[in-house]
Amino acid sequence: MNNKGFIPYYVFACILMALVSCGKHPALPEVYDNSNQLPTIYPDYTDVTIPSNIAPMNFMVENAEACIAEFCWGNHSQTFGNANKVQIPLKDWQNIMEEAKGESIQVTVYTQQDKEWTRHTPFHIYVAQEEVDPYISYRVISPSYTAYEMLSINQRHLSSFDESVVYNNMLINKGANGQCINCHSYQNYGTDNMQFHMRQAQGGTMIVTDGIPRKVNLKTPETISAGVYPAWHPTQKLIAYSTNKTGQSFHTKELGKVEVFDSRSDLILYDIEKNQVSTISAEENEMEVYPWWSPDGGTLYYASAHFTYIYDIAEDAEVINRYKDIKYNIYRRKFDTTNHTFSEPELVYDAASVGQSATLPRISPCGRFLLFSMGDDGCFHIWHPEADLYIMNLANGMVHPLEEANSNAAESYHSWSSNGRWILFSSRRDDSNYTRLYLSYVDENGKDHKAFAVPQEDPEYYYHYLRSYNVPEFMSEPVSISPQEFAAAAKKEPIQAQYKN
Amino acid sequence: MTQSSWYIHLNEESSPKYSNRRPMNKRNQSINPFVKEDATTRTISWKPWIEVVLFALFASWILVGMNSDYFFTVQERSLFLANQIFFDEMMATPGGLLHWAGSYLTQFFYYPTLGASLLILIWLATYGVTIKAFRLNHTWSHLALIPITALLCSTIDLGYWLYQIKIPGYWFSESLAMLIVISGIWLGRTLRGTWGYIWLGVWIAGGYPILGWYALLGGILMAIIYIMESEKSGSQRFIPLIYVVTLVGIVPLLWYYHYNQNRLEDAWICGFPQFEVKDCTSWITLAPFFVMVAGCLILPFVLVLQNVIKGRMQTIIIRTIVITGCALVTWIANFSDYNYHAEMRMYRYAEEGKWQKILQEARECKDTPTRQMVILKNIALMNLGQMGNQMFQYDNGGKLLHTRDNLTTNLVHTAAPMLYYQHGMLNYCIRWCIENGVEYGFTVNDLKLLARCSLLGGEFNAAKKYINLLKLTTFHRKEAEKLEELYNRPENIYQSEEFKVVRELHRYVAENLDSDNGLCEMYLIHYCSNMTNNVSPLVQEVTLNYALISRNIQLFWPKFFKYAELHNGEEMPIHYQEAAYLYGNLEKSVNISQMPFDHKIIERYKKFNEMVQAYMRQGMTDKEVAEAVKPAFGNTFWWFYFFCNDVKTY
Repeated sequence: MNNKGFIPYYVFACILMALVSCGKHPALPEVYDNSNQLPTIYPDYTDVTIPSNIAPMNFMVENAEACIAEFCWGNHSQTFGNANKVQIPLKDWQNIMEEAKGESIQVTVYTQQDKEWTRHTPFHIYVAQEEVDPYISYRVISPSYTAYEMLSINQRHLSSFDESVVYNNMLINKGANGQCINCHSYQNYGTDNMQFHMRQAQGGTMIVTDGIPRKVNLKTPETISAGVYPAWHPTQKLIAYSTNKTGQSFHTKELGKVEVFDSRSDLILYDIEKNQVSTISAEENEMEVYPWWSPDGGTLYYASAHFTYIYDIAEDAEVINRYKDIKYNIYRRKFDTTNHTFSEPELVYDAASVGQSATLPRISPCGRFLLFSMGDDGCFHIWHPEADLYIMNLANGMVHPLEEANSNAAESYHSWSSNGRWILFSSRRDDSNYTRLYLSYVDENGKDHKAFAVPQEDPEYYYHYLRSYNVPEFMSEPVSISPQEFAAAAKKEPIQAQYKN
Repeated sequence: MTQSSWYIHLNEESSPKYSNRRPMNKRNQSINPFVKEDATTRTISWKPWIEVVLFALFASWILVGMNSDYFFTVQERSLFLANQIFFDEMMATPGGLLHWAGSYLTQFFYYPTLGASLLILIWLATYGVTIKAFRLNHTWSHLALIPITALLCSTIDLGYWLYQIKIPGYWFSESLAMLIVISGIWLGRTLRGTWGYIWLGVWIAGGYPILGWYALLGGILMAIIYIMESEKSGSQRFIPLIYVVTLVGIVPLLWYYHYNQNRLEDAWICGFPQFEVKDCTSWITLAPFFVMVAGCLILPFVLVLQNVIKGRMQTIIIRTIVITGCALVTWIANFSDYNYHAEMRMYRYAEEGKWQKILQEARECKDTPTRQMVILKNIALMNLGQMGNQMFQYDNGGKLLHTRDNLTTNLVHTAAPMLYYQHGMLNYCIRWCIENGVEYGFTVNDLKLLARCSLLGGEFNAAKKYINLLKLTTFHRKEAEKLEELYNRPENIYQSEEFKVVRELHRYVAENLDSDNGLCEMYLIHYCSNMTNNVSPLVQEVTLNYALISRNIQLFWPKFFKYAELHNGEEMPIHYQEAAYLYGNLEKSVNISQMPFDHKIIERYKKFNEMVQAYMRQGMTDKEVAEAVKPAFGNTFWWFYFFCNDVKTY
């Protein structure tokens, strides 16, 4: 961790590492003590289940002078390690994954401290049969409160460390005329039909249909706001949105630090081909948010809080005063895919009855499980340290927390992989402030496995990175439209959506 | 390169013997004015090293003698991290390598003399290279002072832009850029024909990612020189310029598709300093760069000047004008506002816990202090337990910040995180560190405060992150290691004298959902004066003091009585007695007749009252009365209560 030189030592380190990795693998120490403890590695990849198409699970042993990891699978073994990091060349890793698919890898870590070597209790990495979608995308943002300089939506190839920018807000405006970008969303994991929002300067919703981007203004006089939290219909050119009047206030002492709240919210449906917005739900005293379609597109799930204003003060002020009273439940409405009409709401999970607030419903691709986030109150759980992920078996209504995947810190935004075996979610377990992405294997019975951080080439990366990852989504393919093409489309006047009663 | 070597080279270059030894420069010989003007150069005894020495001495005086506190603050408000992430983030825009290198060198202002010396060395090198690149002889060497004087001005004229600048490593990056540009011209000048064109292409296309717009500037300057030295006639003479203009037009456009965080319209000015925040675009801070560019553009035309201005007196007059002009402009550009520098000194003392030094600074203040200075003074008194006796002994005014443009600077930009931290309001300190970090880039100052807040707030993994980042700096490792000891032994946090007051105040911060709306002092006054803690004597006294500052009588009495209860048997501090006696007389809601006031305070109040009444009867305005009464009673709560009314917080 000490970096004493000024010249970019890491340039030399990288060259050296490349040379070393091209050469022989480190020899195991001949003399060592045995420890009956697992090594303290970062990120924690001990006893995790991984997809075979994941990038090398590089890790480091923080307080060690040096470390060597011996990977054993089948009849093979291989050693890796340089200084206190284990960084596995991509080719080597892919070979291991190919041979160990459906099996487990035993990893024995030797660490050196004060020139003495210690052999730690081995741990296992289980390689699942099921692969994960090859790409993910997320927004990269500082964990700021009101400032939003330098936001970008990035995409990452999960089988390697390749990351690229989908769109960066600095391409359009900067400083006082800055632009907030958020809520990227895809239809059925593809990128030909996708969307994200741009707020403030040159704002609008960037909607890509059949690979063609265009900017739309979804705000109409009849709706609270433009579209906010989106959900693409899985088969039709429809997007369900919540419309929100969102505010935030700051905790003077709680570790949560910020409370992001809605003082009003409804649901709308945007018909892309007709460029029409219609209301799905705008119940009095209900705040509906986070729509999500069932895989067949026949049901819309969402969260809603019952809240009645009782004081003669500004709505924002009352919400701030009574924010602990705002508890969201999960509802669903049947959707007629022909007439585009919705049924009356049906309560799916009554979180308020147990004093909790449930948000972000996500249905597994098999349609059997409902995954959601639950905290003490409110709808913006990434700022709630107590927030955890829960799963409901829709067949019997049984709900249980993801005991292996959850942590003591906030777990929030989550997505199912297209095969339903992996979930990707954001968590603040590393340092309670910066959101990192975690993957967890979920078996066919809805049982979660220990989660692991999306690997980085340099295992120290998360330690040093001063930005958060949020809104993680799986993708089957990368976004092919360049950031500059998006910028060119964003500079155009938005197409005004029409409201339909 | 030494000064003497410059002298020898210049003589050689301007002598016929020298030109005979370098026949490949024959073409230059016919163009280069210095070869023709041997007579002039021989007759003038002026040596460039005199300029060099004068400039170095003057720059040292300005940088070190007048701006040490400023440059220390510069490095506190900058950041360099020796890791790949920082490097990659810098390289994400054209000119990124300059910012990376500039950020590295800016660290050396931790020792202002060391940083200033490096900067002066770069400028002297630029001066020398400028003479070489533009082949200036003794007569015109002073023109090489113009670009480096502009650079000197650009480092000391920022004022409060220091807190809102968005250019990493600004204080070195621009100087490094100029050194590289002029070195490139020097090299380019040795090349001719196809090689010259190749060099121009490589310079602009390859230099743009490293230097940004400076690469374009260098290309244009080289093209002008090529035109000036071309033996071709007619339109062919302008081929280099057409070539360069084409490259300048196309290259940034091509690179735009490589970078993903620059606007297309900014492609041609990437790397050019921009001072732009909400409602303010500063041109005055850009002035040195316009002068610098103008100075560079003049240099290729020295030939014309030389043909026009030949007389010895004329050249002496021009030199005198240029040199004195450079000195005068620098003097004017220097942001020497007393409070601006005093704020920086006091902030540093607060950071280091040197409370007496803050009070000394407050006592020696030559101007009406700013609100930041007043709050820091109160924090010092709070840490020394002297608020009740001394808070109003100092000037509690609030001079508005001196600015040269319409830049709005609030406490949240300058000191709010520290002020919140010192009041134990760790969440708000963290908030503003991060808000400012996002908007203007993270700084050493942010990381230190974030690490401390995280340690005190029990967010140890976050603290570890910030400590690890501080360890990646060059000069703040010791501070990081000190904090790391606390991270390793959290129990020591509870025994540390350094954190004693902050810890105690934080312990009793009440949980609320709230917002300061960007007005730190207003929020502190409101929050602290409404605290209801009755357990901690420290917290109770802080809330009593803020009740005094808020001049709220209803808030004062319960806090006053609680103070008396918690400090039973102790002497009641002067200002609390003054307030109680005043409020008791103003409003009869509390019977003060049985209170054991110091008779001197009662006597003094009577005199104060009589004097005010007398002046009022004379028809003086409130402002005039305030000034008249101030010498005798300016150190009382009464004066603060009645006359310190036009203070504006920000």
